This record gives sequence, structure tokens and C-alpha cells, in this order.
Amino acid sequence: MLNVALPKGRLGEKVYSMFASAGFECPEALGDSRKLIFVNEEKGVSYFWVKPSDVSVYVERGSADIGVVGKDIIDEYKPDVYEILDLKMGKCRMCVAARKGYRDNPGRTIRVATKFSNIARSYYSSIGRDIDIIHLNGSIELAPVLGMSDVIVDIVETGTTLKENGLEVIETIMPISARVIVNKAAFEFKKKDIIKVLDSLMEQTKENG
Amino acid sequence: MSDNPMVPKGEERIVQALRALYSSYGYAKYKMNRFEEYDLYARNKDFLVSGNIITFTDTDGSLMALKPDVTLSIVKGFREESQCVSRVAYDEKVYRVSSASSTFREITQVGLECLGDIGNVQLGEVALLAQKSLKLISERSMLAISHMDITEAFLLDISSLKARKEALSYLEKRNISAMDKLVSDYPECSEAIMKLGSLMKLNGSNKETLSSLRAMGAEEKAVEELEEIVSILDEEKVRIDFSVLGGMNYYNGITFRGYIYGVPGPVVSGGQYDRLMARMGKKAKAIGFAVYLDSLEKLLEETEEYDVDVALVYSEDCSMLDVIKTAEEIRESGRSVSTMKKLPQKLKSRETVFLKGGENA
Repeated sequence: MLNVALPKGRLGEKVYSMFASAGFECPEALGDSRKLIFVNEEKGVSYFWVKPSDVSVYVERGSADIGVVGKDIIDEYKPDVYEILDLKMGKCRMCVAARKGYRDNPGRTIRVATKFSNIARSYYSSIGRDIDIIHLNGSIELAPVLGMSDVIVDIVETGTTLKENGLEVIETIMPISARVIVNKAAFEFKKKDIIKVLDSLMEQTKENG
Repeated sequence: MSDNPMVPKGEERIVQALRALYSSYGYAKYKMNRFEEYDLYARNKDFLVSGNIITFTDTDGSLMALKPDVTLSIVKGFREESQCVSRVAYDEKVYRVSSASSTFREITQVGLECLGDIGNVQLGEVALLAQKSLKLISERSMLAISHMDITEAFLLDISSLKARKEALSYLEKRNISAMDKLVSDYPECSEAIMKLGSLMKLNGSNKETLSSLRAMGAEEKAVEELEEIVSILDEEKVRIDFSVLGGMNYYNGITFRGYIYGVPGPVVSGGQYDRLMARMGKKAKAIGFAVYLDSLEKLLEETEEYDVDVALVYSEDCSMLDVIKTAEEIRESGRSVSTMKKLPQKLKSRETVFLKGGENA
């Protein structure tokens, strides 16, 4: 039985159909049901829908053998898993943004509001800046608008939210996309199924630039 | 309670079985102090699984540490004797940060070290012991084994230092996409990166992997050593796997990790570490491994159906002598007894015996 953790939402649904094409279908998984776990005994696969940021936890702890998760989550939590494939989907960027016209004062500790404390910390330490991290769980854009922080470190997809709140990107930290991660022990014991999925996913994502 | 209270459970049982196994191979028990000077770890920080160490100041002002690792202490205390081999086994508590909870935990670590004039016999023996240790724990185990000399030779062919570092981290994470991107990012050493990357794609049988390695022009001496060692192991339970890497500053030669079905991370970790020996001023070679029992918690969970066989509930007017005597009598029949005045709500006993006014009612 191959246990797959998928992120709830559009990306997860797309990824499910790729797994299905690889020979691991489980049609009920896409239904409107409130169920969280779907099993197809015949194909030897079970899917569970989890919060995107939790996928890596399920895979690291072995409850899921394989999962799909954003690069942002991998870099933030550094799970001890194999990070095998870049699906080149769900693309966006991890950015530093600030109010339009913001001027950095290098002589001062910079106040950074973010959901990604570890990424922010390692980015600023790589450029040797002392920072004051303000950890928020949502609506990060509000912090610089209210003057609580100087900048934010957050995921930017289209930039619309930033623009509507009078913010702009001042630095791109790294590009983000969806990755396939695999539990280390599962790789040893379920190698055949895992390689089958990976080979198919690799084939299916060939055209993604 | 089990019918025979003398049979140890879970972790304890495994520790005993491992100890017996190692002693049958001539490994002497090594007991060490719980503390070690912090300096030992500070100098070899990358050797440790995690850099976080619990430190305190001793009465003489020196900075001490609660042992996060056992190998370094054994190497430090090792006295060289030419052409001889010293074999030590240990089971110790170590203190390190668990990656899952990011807090310090006390971990039971069992393992062995073989130091001195090491040859093929010792390398094979230690690999065999690693596999046997896994088999002792579970029917379904897998030893993933690699040879650092092969990996290192391919790595050194990559001329760019930056690419070398990245390629190594991608190999460890089996990150095929990032390795492919690295090939296009560094056209001047693309061929060497591709070659290193192809180590990730060796997913066939051990025999196929060995012949692929030869076809790739891997160092013959190392391939032979790997082939020889794999040949003495249970073929079903060993896989050549180049994502197994030890720090290049410490490890060389054979390196391995052991997995147990149902346990998410490696249970066994070890390899040959001549370079650590050299760093610590020893000329001898060494190989060893550790078994991390904390990771087995989930596997060893044996929930008892009953807290105790017999709950002996006695009334106020019972004499102490009566209660103790009655309990002893029941115990003689091999059942466990807990005496109490009132039955706690959550206690689950096989049977409950009430003792009133000196009589067994």
C-alpha cells in the first residue's frame, strides 16, 4: 500500500490526477466528500488530504510514504526526507516586500514580519543583517502598512495583494515550486511503487518549463 | 502483566539481545562517564548528528558537556597497539536535540566500534553485525550501503568547488531535478556532475549496480570491496545506495544506514572513519555503528491489556499481616498483585479480590 499525502486545494487536485495517470487511481479522492482518507485496495494506494504546510510532517514521520509540498515549506522546516523531483508547478517566489518608496537604513535593526521565520533568518544572516522577526500567521501585508514592521518576507504569486496594499517587491529570495518528497525508510521498502510514480511524474512534467 | 514477569519488554529486550550478539563476536563492554569536556565536541562539531549540546561548568571552571555521542569518547580513549584490533560495544544514554520536537532528549544508543589494524575481515564482520542487529529488531529490515571512496572520486572530478558542494547535498536528498539543473548551470563540469548524478539512478539489484559502477569507471578497488562485503550479507536485506553519505571529513570507505519497516528514519548508522581517527591524532583505522533505540518507540509499543493480574482490595479492619500474607499467596501462583483500600477508576485488573476482616471473601 502506497500512502500519499496531498495538499488540499487546486495544486493537490492537479497532482492527484498525475498520480492517477501513473497507475494509482482512486476516483473517490476528488469527490465532495468530507472524508480525509481515500483507499483503493485494488491499486494499492491511499490518499489523504492535509493542510499544505503539514505534508512534510506526514512524510517525515512515515505516515505518508510520498507527498507533494512547496519548496517554501521544505526550506522553512527542513524535514529529513528525500526531495526528489521538482514538478515545476505551483510556481511563485519568496520575496522581501516593503511599502512603496521604502528606503533601507543599514545602520538599524530591520523589523521583518513573516510566516517563514527560518527562511527570513537565514536570508538576512547570509547578508549579515541584524533583524527583529515578527512571526505572523496570516495577512502579513498589514504589518508594514501599520508600521509594525519595515518589510515582510512572504510568497508572491502575482503581486496583486501587494499592489492593493501599496507594497512592492524589493528583493527575490528564491523561486518556489511544488516538490515530490519521499520518506527515507519508505524508499527502501516500497521502492518499486515509488520508482513507478516518479518515472511517470518525470515524464508528465517534462514540458513544464 | 505478562505471565512471566521475568521476560523483559521492548527496548530492554533489544538491548540485551544486541549486547549478547556483540559479545559473541568478542566485543567487550565499554562503560563511560556521562560527562565529557565540551572541547572534544567543539572540535568535531560536524561529526555530531546535531550541533546542540547541553553544557555546564564544572567545579574547577572547565566547560563540560552531557555526552551527545559515544564514538568520540571511545576514539579519545583508544590506545594503539600495532597490528591489533580493539573491539568495544556500549549501550549508553546520549543527549541530543530530536529533529521532530527541537528539544533535548535522552536517547538510548547501542553500538560498537572496531579500532586498530582493520582489514577486510573486520569490515565484513561489522557490516554483518549491522545487518544482524536489524534482523534482531524486526523481520523486515534493509541495510543501505555505499562506499565513500567511489562517491568521493566522482565528486573530485567536479572542478567547481561550489558545484561540488551543491551536488553532494543533492545526492544525499536524491534531488534529481536540482542535479539536472546543476548540470546546465555549470557547463564546464557538466559531464562530471552527470556522472555523480547517475549514482542516484542505480535502483536495480546489487549485481546490476555493481556492474553499472564498473561501466562508469568507478574505482575498482572500492567496487571490489563493496562487492565482497555485499556478498557475505543476506542479499534480500541489503541495497547499494549512494544517497548514504557520511561527512567527508570523517568518513571513508564503507558507509551504511539501516531501516526497519514501520520506522520513518534510519535505525542504524555507521561506517569506516579513518579520517576522524587521523583528526584525533590516531594512526589506526576504525569502523563502527550505532543503533538508535528511540526511533523504535512506535514499533515497540506494547500496550498491556491489564495493569495488574489481581487487585486485592482490603477493608479498614484487615490486619496488615492478613493483607500481606494473602497477597503473597496469590503471587506464589505467578500472578501479580496490587494491594489497595479502594479500587481506582482507571485501574484494569484481570480479577478483583476483596479482603474483609481478615478473611478472603
